[in-house]
Amino acid sequence: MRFYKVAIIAIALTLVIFTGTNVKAETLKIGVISVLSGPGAVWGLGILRGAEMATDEVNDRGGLKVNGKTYKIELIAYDDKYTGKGGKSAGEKLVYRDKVKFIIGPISSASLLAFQEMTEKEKILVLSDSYTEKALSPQKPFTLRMFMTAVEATPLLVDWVLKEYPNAKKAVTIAPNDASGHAGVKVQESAYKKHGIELTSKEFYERGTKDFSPLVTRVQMLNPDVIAFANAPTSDCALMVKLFRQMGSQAVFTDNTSTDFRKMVEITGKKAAEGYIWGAFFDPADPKMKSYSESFKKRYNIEIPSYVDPAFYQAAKAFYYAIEKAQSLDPATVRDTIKYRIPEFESVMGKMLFGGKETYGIDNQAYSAYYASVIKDGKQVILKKLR
Amino acid sequence: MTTIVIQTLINGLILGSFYVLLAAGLSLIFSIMGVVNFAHGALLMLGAFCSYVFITKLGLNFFLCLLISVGVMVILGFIIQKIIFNPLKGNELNMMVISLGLAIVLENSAVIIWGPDDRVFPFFELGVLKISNVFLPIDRLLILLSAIVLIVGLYILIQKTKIGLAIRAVAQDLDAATLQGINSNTISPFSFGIGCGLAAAAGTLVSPLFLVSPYMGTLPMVKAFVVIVLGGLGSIIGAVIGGIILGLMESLVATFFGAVFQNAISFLILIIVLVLKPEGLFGEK
Repeated sequence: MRFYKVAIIAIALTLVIFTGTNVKAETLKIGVISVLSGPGAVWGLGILRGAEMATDEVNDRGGLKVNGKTYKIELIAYDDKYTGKGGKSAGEKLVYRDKVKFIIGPISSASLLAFQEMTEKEKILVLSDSYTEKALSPQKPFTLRMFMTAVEATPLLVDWVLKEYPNAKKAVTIAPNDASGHAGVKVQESAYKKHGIELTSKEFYERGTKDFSPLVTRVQMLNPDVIAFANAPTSDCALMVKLFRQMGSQAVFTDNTSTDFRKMVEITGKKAAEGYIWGAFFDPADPKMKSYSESFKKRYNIEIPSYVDPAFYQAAKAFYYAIEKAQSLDPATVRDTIKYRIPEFESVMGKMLFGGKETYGIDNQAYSAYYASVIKDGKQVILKKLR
Repeated sequence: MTTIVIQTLINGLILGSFYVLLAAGLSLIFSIMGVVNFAHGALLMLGAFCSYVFITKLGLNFFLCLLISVGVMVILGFIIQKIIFNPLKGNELNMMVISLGLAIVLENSAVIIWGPDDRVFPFFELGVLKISNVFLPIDRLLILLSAIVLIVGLYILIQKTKIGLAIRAVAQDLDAATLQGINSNTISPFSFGIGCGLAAAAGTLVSPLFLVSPYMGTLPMVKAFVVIVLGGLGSIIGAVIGGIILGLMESLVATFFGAVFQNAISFLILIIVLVLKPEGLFGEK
């Protein structure tokens, strides 16, 4: 009996000594909601990869240090499949099952709108890039949009295109038939109207469509000078551009979203892709971007497919910077620190600042650099810094 | 306007020929098993990826890839029918559920192996034929021509060969066919394999045009289902006529009313057929 008492005390003491002397980092769970499969995955995976790279940098240096505690970050990612149903499910799992207080993503407007009421009610900070204008409002203080949308960027691109092509009088938009697509077309329409050009037609198609020959035939009937894609994935745009060129179209193609120009060239061929214009959010020749590109390629063994990768790398870094600056894990405090101290923070895409009150009623919209970009001889060429 | 109409009809014929290939295989499988194989779209995808692997990893010629992919899928279809569906013979509901499960397993496996992104299928630049302002991309014409060859081949197999006679017998009356000495345990898997081979052919032929992805078979599966309902469940002639009708209707509606209606017209046709003539154009009442 005495032996057992001694053994128990010895074990208890050992446990106390060893758990007492090891400083264990706590875990901070951060949610990621994004489209991880299907045509939108080129953007959605960018959110995840961006968050992963920024998270690994923090964890590799020991974790986030907040109020004397150290936090290792654990990303919990769910695929919203670019749908409202997927977003709602992902949001509820993250908030109610995984108990996160911060969510990075999504890109899908339908997804964000499906869970946003819940995250606002629960005061969960959401760092999204959904294009819908309904994403931001004074009634939704916990949603930040980390990058410019078509509302901010498209007018800049349209202004530039119409200066470069002053004879362009007929423009047609083509977009997916969902919240993102309609939002993109609305902005295009307004931007062209400012120049006295009424859109000749607004064409929509269902996501998942692969045979675009009827749509292309329909648009060709109108003989437009400009064909403006709005919030359509690169692979869809590329299939259409290929068909347009096969049918002899000489139109100028513009894309208000960031294009994976390598994929565009691969699908359409160099000749058909020549002259394709899009708005780029970063200059690949910038030294910080070059260094990031090298790290990205080393880690993922691919070239950067779209702006979303560096954008969400930058967004996640800004978020972690804000947590340590605020020395708080309270979503409202972190949100305010991101908004008001982000001009101090510069990453791969340059400086950012928050605004948007005149458009959305709240300064929760981030602004950053923007460039007119074109495909020349199969490569991306930056033509002009528009912002 | 005439040019546009002709262009639209040609677009519709090409699209329809893709539906014909897919629906003919689905119809053949239905005639043998008595259930709609909801994994047919996933099998199309698998056939496409087979060809994709052969062409990118082994550098084989496109047509050789097509033949090999069809052969592989015929064998795989034979095995799937033997192992998965045959034990459930007579239990149509379970077979349907299993086929749905198989579709999900195949799609998710493809995502794990190849990732979710669209992949570009390497293909030669064939150019465009222009006949009086009507544009005929040669890679698209290839689908139409290949579909004609494959459907004629299927017709000859089914109508002019002993094995085709056996397939028809089993489709018509399994018990009577067995009494006549036809081994349904070989004929049924073989027919399923042919159906899978046709799906693989359809997948391979459209891959250079539509890209290859784990989800490439989802929407075509739905369209193939509409075609076999329109044409008549189990009728290959019905699948041919139904496929052409659907392709033409989609092309006409999308061109003259907007691409948003392209899928809607398919389901409208489905509703109309089920209400007015549920057996389809060539099905039995």
